[in-house]
Amino acid sequence: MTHSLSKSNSLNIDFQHYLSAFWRRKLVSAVIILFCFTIIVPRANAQDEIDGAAIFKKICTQCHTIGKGKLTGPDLKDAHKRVPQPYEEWMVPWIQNSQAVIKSGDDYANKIFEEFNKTLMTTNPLSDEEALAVIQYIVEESAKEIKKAGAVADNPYEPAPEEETDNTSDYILLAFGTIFLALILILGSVGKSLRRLVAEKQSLPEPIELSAIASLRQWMGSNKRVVAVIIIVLLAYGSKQGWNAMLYLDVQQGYEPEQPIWFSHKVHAGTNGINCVYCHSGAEKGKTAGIPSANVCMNCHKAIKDGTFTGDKEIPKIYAALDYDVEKQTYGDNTTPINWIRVHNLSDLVYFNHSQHVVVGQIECQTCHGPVEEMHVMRQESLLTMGWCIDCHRKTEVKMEGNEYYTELHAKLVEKHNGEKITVDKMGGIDCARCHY
Amino acid sequence: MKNNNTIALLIFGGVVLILVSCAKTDREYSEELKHDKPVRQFTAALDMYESPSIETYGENSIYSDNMGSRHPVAGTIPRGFMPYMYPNTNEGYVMAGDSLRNPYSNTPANLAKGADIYSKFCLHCHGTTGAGDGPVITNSNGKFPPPTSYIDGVSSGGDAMKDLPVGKMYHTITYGRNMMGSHASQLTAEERWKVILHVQALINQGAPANEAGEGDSEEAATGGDDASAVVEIEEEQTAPEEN
Repeated sequence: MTHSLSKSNSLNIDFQHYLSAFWRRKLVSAVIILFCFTIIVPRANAQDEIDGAAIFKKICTQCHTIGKGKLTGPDLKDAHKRVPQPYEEWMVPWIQNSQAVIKSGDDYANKIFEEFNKTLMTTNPLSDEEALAVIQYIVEESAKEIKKAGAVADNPYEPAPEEETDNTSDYILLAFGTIFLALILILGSVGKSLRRLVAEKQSLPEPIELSAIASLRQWMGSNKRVVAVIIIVLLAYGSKQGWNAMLYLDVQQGYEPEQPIWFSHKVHAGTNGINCVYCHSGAEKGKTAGIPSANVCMNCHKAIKDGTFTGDKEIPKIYAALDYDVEKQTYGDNTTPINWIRVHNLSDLVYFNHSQHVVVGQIECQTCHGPVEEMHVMRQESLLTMGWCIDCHRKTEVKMEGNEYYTELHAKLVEKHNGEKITVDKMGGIDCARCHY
Repeated sequence: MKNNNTIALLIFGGVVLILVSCAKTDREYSEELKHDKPVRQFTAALDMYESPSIETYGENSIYSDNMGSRHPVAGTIPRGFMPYMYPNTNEGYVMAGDSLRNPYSNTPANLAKGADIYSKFCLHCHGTTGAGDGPVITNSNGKFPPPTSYIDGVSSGGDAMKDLPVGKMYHTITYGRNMMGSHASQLTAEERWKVILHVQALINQGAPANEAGEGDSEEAATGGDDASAVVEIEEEQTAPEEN
């Protein structure tokens, strides 16, 4: 231990000796070089540290995409190749303050400003390094190929693969049936010939062969009461079946027509939680809930160009109906209405008003239309018969709270039907002329 | 013999009555009922079921385009409708911001109506707090860019969203701006102004909408002279038209 210590001591002295002469000069130059690096290198280092992707996602994605089409601003895929070169020198001041670049009279800046209807690009308080990081991110992302996600199946309009049904049990039954029928015939003819043989042997007169109808008539003659009961039961059953058939005459429950565009209520109202009246805004304002005009579709589908199931094929149908140019974001004149097929169709002899039920009655849409937010394809869930209407009017209680206008009338109603629930029918909800006039 | 007939008739009637009373009149939907063509069957008076009058959105062979719904004659406006006077340009946007004022005041009833409209027409994109995180945005996997947050965002016009003049908000709802489409066909002028009241409430509180809703109902319970508020609205309503 002591030995090594003394050795290191001697080394130390040597080192100090060298340092004082040769190394001191070297060290000074090294410090100078290092100092130079602190000026140059941190610029590069800082660029690596600043997350261009994060900045892009925070402030740019509201108006720009990289390779996914234009939104409010241009698609930035290969933007660095389009702008005046060298691109860093043009893009950094543009990102920081686009208005200043436009005012400076830059040709390219004014060209894109005009192209995008003079939409202002927000001034972004970014440092040069941050702006460079964003540009680096755009360059990197431009090089990437965008993978298009394949449409998921489970589209009810695509024909389902045909399942091979198992028919063997049916064939077995058929075979057994044939065997039994053959047995009955054989045994019958055997019995007949046996009877004839017996008659021959005993030399009796040949038995009179009655036809099937004649024998039935003979049996009916001797059992009149049984026949009467059977007739009554059959007639009653027939009447009941006839009655049932008449109940559902012209009832369209379960009607599920194929629409011109495969629109899924489940995706829109269910997954994306869009309120029913956002599109059917007439439901709160008038008689008809309304089919949304295609401009309502475009409130979202200007940005959303492909969908969960069939969007790739179906969303362009909206664009076609509106004569909308996706690239230029402009509308043409050659519009065609979308031929939606009406699902719920009341008879013309009855009056129905949506706002009366939705606003005044505060009835949920689902009460009559079923769980629409779970239906891909819209269908008529309810009967929509008069009995169905009346049934609900008899059960639904009138909401009297918070309706100052009718306070007096409601008080009178409560007084008249002392203690009873005030349902819709108590205030004339089942009067004929309420709906039929 | 006559006696026997009466008994038979009585039994028949009884059995029919029992069977019919068992019939279900409120048929539930089931998969078996599914059909994609309408089942038009025999009905006694077809004219009453399908009268010659034109159905809403129905077809009408009188017109060459076969459509029952017609555009109103050019230049006509609905009764009580006030045309919007600012053009759909950046200049119009700035002008609307400078001169339009909300004709409706912050009464509990107006705020409640505004919150109701917001939940139906705005929430699915702008989110409950106005932060731009509605279900449409979060489900779109980046396909739909998030709208600018009301609380800490900066609008494309350069204003901080929390200081955005109501006129610019109204202009945006009416014509649409950037990725937001026009909502003029879905919301009346009155509804647009009332939903702006709610948006401002969201900005002021920077709090979830349901908390704001609770606050409103408390206010509604404690007071609010509705009659005077109505007069106030009517007076203020004329203000923007004079400008």
